Amino acid sequence: MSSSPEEPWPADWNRASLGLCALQALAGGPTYGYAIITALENAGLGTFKGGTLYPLLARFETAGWVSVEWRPGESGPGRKYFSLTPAGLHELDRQRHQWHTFTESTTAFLALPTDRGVSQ
Amino acid sequence: MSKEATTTTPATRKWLDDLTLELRLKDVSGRSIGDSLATVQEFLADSGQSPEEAFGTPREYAAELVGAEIRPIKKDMKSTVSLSTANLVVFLVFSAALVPWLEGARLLLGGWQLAGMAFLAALVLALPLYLPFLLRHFWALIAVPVVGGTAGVLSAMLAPKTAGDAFLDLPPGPVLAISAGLMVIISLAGTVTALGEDPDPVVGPLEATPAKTLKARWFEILTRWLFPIFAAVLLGLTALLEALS
Repeated sequence: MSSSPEEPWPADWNRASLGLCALQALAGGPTYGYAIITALENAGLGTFKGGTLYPLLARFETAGWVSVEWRPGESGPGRKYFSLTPAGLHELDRQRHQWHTFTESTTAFLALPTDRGVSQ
Repeated sequence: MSKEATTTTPATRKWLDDLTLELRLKDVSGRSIGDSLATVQEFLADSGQSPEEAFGTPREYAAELVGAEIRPIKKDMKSTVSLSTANLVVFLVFSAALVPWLEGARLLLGGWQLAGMAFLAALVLALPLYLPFLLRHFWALIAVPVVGGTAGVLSAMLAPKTAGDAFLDLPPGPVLAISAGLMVIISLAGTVTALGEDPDPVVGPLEATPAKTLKARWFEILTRWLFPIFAAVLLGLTALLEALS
């Protein structure tokens, strides 16, 4: 588990990676909104709002990647648990593979010598 | 502030009420609204945050949820509005014919009076266009009935005094009978339409859907009979005043 960065990640990076990271957070079994946000924060990925996460999870539900179950709580309205469906698991594998390829390409590009122009 | 307290403060309840309104305006079903409210409450209890902090404004969050394809439902607003408009116009004709009928005089309708009735009908007919604005602004919610009421009073004040000034000169008895009959027919049609639609209350995710009994829907049905009820009350009051004077 890594610590939070001293400086927040650019919002664009967070937006781009949130979907994949939320799927990954669900890979360990059914969990709920605040637990997902806490897991991402503890992993040093930044702070996310409920107003950002729940609409994303609703999109995943519409896409058939997650299923939802309400469980009664000791008090209050209960707890909404999200779990990955087989289609969601497949999507996680696909996106994880794509992400690795993308970040490898990005890292390789960033390692290019800076004394040469890209037009060569 | 404790985590429990954040979900029960007046500010949080107001935020949840506003979210309910915004989702209703976007035709989201009661079941989905109940799910969204419970999710927000669960998250606030877990995080101890305020609703604005965690979800932004109710309007923004509702837009996010609908953008995320929470399924909207289709309610037949047009038929409801058309029936209400028709009943309003018929009620105005009934009330115009009432006093001449009780006094044994002719029903005289002036051009300005007809224009006032047309304005009121247009106000109701255009309701779907400005209903969201009305519900978000309390002053507008007050202003529209005031404008409508003023138009009604002006239309009554501008009633012609002599047959020569009248645009229409009619016997009030048949007009009264036909308009009363029409109000009952329109209210019956509204009741049939209301009973044909599934009720859509806001229901929490762990709650059972309320029974679709007549007892549970009495208020909805009552609203369909408001104009005949008003007409009966108006008839009684006017007859009483005529008898006393």
